[in-house]
Amino acid sequence: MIRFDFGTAALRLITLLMMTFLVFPIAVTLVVAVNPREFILPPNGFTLDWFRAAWSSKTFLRGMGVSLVLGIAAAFLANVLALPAAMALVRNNFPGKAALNIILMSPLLIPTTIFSLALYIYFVRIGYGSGLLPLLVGHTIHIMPYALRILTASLHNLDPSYEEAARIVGAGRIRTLFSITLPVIRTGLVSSFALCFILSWNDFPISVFLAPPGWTPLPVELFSYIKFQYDAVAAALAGSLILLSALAIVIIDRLAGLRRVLRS
Amino acid sequence: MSDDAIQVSGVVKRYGATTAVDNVSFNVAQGEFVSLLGPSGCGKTTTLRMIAGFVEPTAGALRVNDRDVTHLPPEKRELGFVFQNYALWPHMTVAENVGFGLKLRRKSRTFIREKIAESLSVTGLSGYEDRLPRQLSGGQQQRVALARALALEPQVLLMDEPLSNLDRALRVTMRRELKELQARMKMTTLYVTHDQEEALSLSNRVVIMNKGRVEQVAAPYELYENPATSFVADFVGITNFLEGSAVGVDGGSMGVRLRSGQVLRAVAKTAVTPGAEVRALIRPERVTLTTKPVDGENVLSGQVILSEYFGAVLRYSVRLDGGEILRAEVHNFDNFVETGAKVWICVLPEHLRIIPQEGQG
Repeated sequence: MIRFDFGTAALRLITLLMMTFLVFPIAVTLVVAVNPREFILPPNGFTLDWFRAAWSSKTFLRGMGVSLVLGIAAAFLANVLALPAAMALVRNNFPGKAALNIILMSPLLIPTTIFSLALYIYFVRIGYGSGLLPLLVGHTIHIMPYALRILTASLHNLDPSYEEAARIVGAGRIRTLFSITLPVIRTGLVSSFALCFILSWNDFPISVFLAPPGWTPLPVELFSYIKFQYDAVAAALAGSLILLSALAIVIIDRLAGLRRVLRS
Repeated sequence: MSDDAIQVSGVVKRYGATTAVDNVSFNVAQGEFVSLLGPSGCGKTTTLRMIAGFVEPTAGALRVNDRDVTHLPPEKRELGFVFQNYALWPHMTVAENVGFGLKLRRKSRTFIREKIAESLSVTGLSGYEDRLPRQLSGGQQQRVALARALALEPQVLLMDEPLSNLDRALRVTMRRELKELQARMKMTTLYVTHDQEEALSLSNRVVIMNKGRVEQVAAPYELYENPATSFVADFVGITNFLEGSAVGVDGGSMGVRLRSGQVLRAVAKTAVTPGAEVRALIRPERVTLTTKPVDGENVLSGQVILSEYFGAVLRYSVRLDGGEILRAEVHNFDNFVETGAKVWICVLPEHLRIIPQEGQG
């Protein structure tokens, strides 16, 4: 006889509801993207026309290019800035360490819209307004705390004797950094870079305020499209991005182990 | 000029208010094997790490082969270092680990390959060149770590508890191999350990440290036979301490008046002022124990409160008539003495050491 366990059943039900809640909008987007009828459910067929339209749109392709370049540049910059900060925080004790940590993590505490507006006002004041540099700076500041968190965790797990062993056989500080430290924490670096890129790729508020004309990242482009157009091209584009993200997750999982990435 | 390979002079390391290493000085001669021995937290590892350049001394000077290295970074010191946790670089193969230092020195490819093969054969790991560290056992990893240090033919080899992460049987094997290797290569070695067996069996001389200070620097034999302080006596081997005051006995030799009023005679090794508070030190295996009354010099009487039978040796705890507990270890020649028996214990004057009590000068 199987005993009915109320606790387990409740947990299963809640989990199922949560999963549905999370997956439902994604599923709807994908269904709409292959449905010949615009935004009318249930679907009455299958078509890839919307995908074709999305991927042949010059505006979208350009937005994607902008987002790609911006994401890579911002992720690179954020990690280059976060690594020395993480090293200083992990390896030393100094007065003001806790305060410095809070300052470095503070972009997480300020709502992005307010932060973007403040940054826009700042750049206008110093005579830039919106532009490529402000856009890059904004994205970098926004994602740096995430890079700092992941790299701090990686460096915590790094045994200092690896570096000492390199120094004693004759490697200087720089050589040790590139030959030992970075390769040993490469999982953390890859995770950090990937997360930073995704955050930049998904960002909307910073780009709205700071992107210069002709350099509109994809999310902003997408938003202005759905403001005026009522076809499923946007859904197809969103669907493509969902599939690409899923692919990225699979790749990161294969390379680094997703559990490790999420834990750090 | 000096012939010493390592000279440590007046080295101090303070972390805030705590002093980890307090005015430590000792030398290591060319080709000598010296151990730093002490309980955990005694400053032995910090001292070694200062010599390697991983820790900056607060004061004092360090010389390696007569070169002042006190303020040199580790990469300029030309030392070998073997870590407790091996510290093999996980992303490099065995060969890459061993060859990394040679590559930095821009040696030719053939030279590096030959040197890797040579170092691995010395440590008994030929054929493991392409393995990754995680594919090796602890003992094998430690051999790679040793090969990595030896490949550079360092002037001095520093080892930080290299065997403490291995299981006991392997530790004993590796200890013998290490001793053979060191004797063969005549490599100056400074070895940190908390294991007195390792220190005594491997070293030419041992530096005993306690609470950041050097207690004694001496050959293993001297440490055991002539400990300078009660800490050394207690840390190296098992020792009985009997407290009393120093008395001068017929001219040259010394004596100690125990609390019971009895005077024991000892051969004077260190000068002690008569009347000073001292400890008489008696090794358990240096006494004779009988159940028949004995008269004469240096005889203590008491009652066995615990007797333990170990086959080859017999161990007794005896409560002396003065109240002190004395441990005795005798070989199994005589009859086993049961708990409760009245016994007489003889100590020859040359087996009795007198050392000043700590903290009283």
